[in-house]
Amino acid sequence: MSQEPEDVKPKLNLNIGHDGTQITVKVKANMKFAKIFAAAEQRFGKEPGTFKFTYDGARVQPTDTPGDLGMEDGDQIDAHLEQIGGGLWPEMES
Amino acid sequence: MTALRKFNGYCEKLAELHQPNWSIPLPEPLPLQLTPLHECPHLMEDVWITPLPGHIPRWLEDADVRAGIQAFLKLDRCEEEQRCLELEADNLCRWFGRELRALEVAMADPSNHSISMLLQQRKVHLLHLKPRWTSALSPAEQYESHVQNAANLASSLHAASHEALVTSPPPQAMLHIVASSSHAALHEASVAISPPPSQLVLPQTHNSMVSQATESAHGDVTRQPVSEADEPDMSDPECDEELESSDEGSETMQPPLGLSSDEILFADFLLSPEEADESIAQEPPAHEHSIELLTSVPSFIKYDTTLQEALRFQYAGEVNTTHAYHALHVGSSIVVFEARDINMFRNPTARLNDVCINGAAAYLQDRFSHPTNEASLHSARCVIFSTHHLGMVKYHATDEEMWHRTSKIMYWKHDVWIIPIHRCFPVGHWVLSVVYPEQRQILLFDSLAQTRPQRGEVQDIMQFVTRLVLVANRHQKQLQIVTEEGWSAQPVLANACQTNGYDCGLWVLAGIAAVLRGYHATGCFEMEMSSLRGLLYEHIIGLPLYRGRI
Repeated sequence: MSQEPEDVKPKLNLNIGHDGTQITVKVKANMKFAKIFAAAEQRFGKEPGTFKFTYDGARVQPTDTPGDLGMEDGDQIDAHLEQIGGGLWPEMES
Repeated sequence: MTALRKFNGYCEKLAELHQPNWSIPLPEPLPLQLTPLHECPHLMEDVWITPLPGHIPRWLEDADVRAGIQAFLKLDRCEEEQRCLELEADNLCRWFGRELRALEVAMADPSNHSISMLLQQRKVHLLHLKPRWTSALSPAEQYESHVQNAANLASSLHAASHEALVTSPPPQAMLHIVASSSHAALHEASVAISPPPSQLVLPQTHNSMVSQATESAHGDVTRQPVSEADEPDMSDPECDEELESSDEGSETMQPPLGLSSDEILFADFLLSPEEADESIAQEPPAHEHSIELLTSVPSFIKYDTTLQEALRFQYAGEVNTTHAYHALHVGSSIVVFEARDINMFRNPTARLNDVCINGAAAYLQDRFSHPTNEASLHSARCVIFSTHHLGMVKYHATDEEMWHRTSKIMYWKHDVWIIPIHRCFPVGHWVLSVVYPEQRQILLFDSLAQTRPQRGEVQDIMQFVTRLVLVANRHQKQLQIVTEEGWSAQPVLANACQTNGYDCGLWVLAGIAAVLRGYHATGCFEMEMSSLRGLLYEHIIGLPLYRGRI
């Protein structure tokens, strides 16, 4: 009934990149991404919830954990700002 | 009141006692009503209580001298005011001249043809200002000379651009030839007519905007680096323990944090063709891509007019319109549409976001690539890049990053590269570029069919393609594509097909669908867009519900 196996569970270094800027966070495999997202947004000086994160091109959900996605040490997560477009030019408004 | 009466009593007493040889002025009694008291000049005067030997100062004795002093002070202020007004009048006059010349330059630029009426109206308005602003401080001759200068500039520009057009042989004139010629002409004309460089408004404005953008970029680099000070302050102690931040990666930081790649794209857009030429000429040759930018629609374009039929389907299941997420599984990848994204398809006037574009594009390819679909052979030839990929060339992503982010789609195995592009200036706008690497051709789709050629954007696409080829070959993926020469870029649309402010994303999806189905561009009409939106919505809510990772 020892807790030892959980204590020695290795931490992962995850690289989070946004527009060429990298930060590295050290996380446990069972940590929810919501917490990691919040930390990354704070590090990048962005408001909470402004980034979308993708891993291998697929969106990472806040409820996922690095373990769920089979992430390994040194894996890369990309952070993007939302792009939105409708395409009306100012001169067309008048 | 008592004090006033007392004071007036003293005044009377003093008048009785007064002797002229004392050489003191007699104090005047003060009025007993408030308003006259308020205006009384004697109220604040010192009362002479001791005899003064010798001469009495004139300002004290003589009210005219006091009035004279005040008049002198007033005169000084008037002269000062006049100088200010002269400066203002001079500024007005110079602004008038600058504005007029800038308008002439703008009207001479062929890319401004679509707004020529507005420019002409602006010119008429300016000329009307001339009689109103003429004054003794800035005589009519000054304004007249500005009008004359602008007219001379206009005729020089017209002559120069005409010459440039005549000398360029092919009917589909290469834009950069025209642009560079007119730039040279503009430069010559401006130098000849208005020597002070500060009066060349247009180029200066653009340069300063771009340099501001660059400055702010640099500013952000120094301001934003993620340092020890920026360590996340995780209030949760468990969090501190579990999530440790390290700055190992921060050395690799190059670019501006505050300025997203999209914003840099926008800065690029600000460049007029003239400036674009200038900036390209200033860049090292390694960044310059030889690409022919044509404005005419190629004759071989095949338009897809049957997309709606291809997408129409009967959804038998129960449609779940709650706040559920829906997911598309393609191989090992998963695309999740959140309720917010799905609502963008449901709302007939919503603008689409990146998830909608990337997700729906992936869905369309998945659908059209199904072996039973008649378009499967065409669809399999295509690869769709993410709307976030092109931004990598802006911040000079490393080869590793480029490879890491694009290798999964195995673009080197496909011969049609679909690159949806997000423009963020002046408002968010989706456009599409389709690259045919073997044919060395780029087809550009813009639902607003802007006349202004996006030189910066085409250069970015070309640079993106070049780097993709380079990176693939470095990773032993044979990609025999010549990127140095022979490339051309052309629009697939001559006239705008969109007149509203929300459908460009759908147009881009229709364009992607057309290419996946083996056409070059969509042949949809604007009236079909709302039903296309509805169809896509139905398809997406028909996807399985997302229940988290398995």
